[in-house]
Formats: sequence, structure tokens, C-alpha cells
Amino acid sequence: MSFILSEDAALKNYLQGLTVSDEKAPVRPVKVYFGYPDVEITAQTYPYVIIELIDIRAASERQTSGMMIDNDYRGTVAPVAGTAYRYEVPLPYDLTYQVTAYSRHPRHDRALLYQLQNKFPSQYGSLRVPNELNTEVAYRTMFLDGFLKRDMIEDGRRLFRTVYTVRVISEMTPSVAVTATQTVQTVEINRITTNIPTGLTAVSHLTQGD
Amino acid sequence: MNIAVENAAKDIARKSALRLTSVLRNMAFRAEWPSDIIVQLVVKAEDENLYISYPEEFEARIQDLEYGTPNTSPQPVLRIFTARYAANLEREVSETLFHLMENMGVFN
Repeated sequence: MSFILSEDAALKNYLQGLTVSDEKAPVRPVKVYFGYPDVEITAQTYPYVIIELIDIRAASERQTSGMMIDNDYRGTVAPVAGTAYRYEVPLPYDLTYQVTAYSRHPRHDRALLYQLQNKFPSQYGSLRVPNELNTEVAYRTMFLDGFLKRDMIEDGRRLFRTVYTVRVISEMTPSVAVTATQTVQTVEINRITTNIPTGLTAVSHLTQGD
Repeated sequence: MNIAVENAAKDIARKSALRLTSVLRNMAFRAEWPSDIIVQLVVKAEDENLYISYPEEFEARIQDLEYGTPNTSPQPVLRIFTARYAANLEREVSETLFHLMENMGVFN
């Protein structure tokens, strides 16, 4: 995966495995969502955690220049003997996330507080981000920039909310930006399709504009 | 601190605060914050320090916008503003002050 997608996935993965307990369930897993899912979903799954990407800042103060050479194009292409890739030094970025924990039960709230404080330990946090080939792993520095408790009453019931503002150090190679703006020219589809609904015809090949 | 330097530092901070208030309100406008809240946002200078100020009665609404609610996504402005501008500005003020003191021969 590339810039942003990798960090998104890594952060969600990092928050997996959170659990709380109460008199009805000794182990209650805490679900993690991106953005705000439908109310119908969350209403049944308290407690839960939401991840929001709230800022992308080019960290020009950390920018350096020059060329790098390796044999897997920063972990995006399987190495081939005798082939090397040359590219510019990546652009440093700060990705800022808001991680919000919601719960209805004070004991769940405290259990989540404890676990999340350990997950985001001030300036000593790190996020495990594997490369695209999944052959190497980088540990990105992760800062806890802010913490806020915003408990409230919703529909006559207590809602415990804890908000963490987390900054993840990241980088983007210029080639990623070029790739992201490329236009899709051809879409290949499966030509051995079976079970085609009555009245429809199998399409063997599509090009842009079809 | 030399009185002239102190006054110069306060003047730099005051002018920067005016400029940053405009930047902050522009960011809030782009984030689609309500106009009655936008006009309440002010960057203030106290000595050489800068901080964001708004009337206390707007606190709850501003926090709902900044951090979201159970049913709405956050529309962060204050945190992004602080990360992008305030840190740089404090450095700018310090450096300007340093050069000013250097030119006045304070370090001789």
C-alpha cells in the first residue's frame, strides 16, 4: 500500500485487540472503525473506537534533497538481480489522526483509557508500517499531541468519550504522486464469467470511453 | 530585558497576532464553521506568547466542531492552526527578537 493507506491500515491494525469486561461478558472486544459508521451499527457495538485522518502537513523543516538507490524501489517492486532503482529523497509528512473512544459503561471507559494511554505514550509511541511487498517493516514515530475527555449525556444515557490527537511521521516518494495522477487506460475483466443473469451479455474487453 | 527590546518584542507579537487572527478565521471559514463562531476567534499576544481566545459561552459549540460529536465528524481548525502556524510564529518572533538584540549590541 502507499502513502496514507499504509498508515491508515497500520493504525487500525495497531488498535486491534482492545477488550473490556463487565458482569455480562468477561471479554468484550472493542471494534475499530474508520470515520463515522451508521448509527445503527455503532448503537449495538459499544464500546468502539473511531479513527479519523484530520490533517496532512508537508513537514518542510525535515526535508532533505538528493538521490537514493536501492533494488526494490522502496519496497514496492520485487528485487531483480542486476536491477537498481534511483529516485529522489522522499518528502516528509506529518499525518494527524483523531482517535476517539466511545463507551456507555464507566468501567469500559476506564479500561479503554488505560489501554489507549499505553498505545499512545506521549512522545515515545511508534507505529509498525510494513512496506508494500511486506518484506520489511518501518517503525514510524508517533506523538500524542493532545488528549481530551468529553463525556456527555445522549438520549438520557451517559456516553463516555475520550479523544486522542495522534501525529504519525510519514513520507511520500515523488513517484507515488506521479502514480496517483495516472489515468486508467484499460480495464481488464474476467472473461471466464459464469452465472450471467438472464438478459445480460458477457463483455470480453473494455477500454476507456466504452 | 532592555525596555526598547521588550517593547519591540511586544510590537512584533501584537502585529503577528493580528495577522494570525485573519489566518485562523479564514481556516474556520474553509472548514465551514458557523459565521457567528468565526468572528469570535481571536489570536492574542501576551508578552511574547500567542494564544487562541474566544468567549466562554462558545466553548461547547467550538469543541463539538473541533472534535466532532457521536453523530458528526470533527471539523478541526484550532489543532491544525496551532500545528501549522503558531509553532513557526513563535520561532519567527524569537529569531526577530534575537537579531534585534544583536543589532543593539546586547550581546557585546
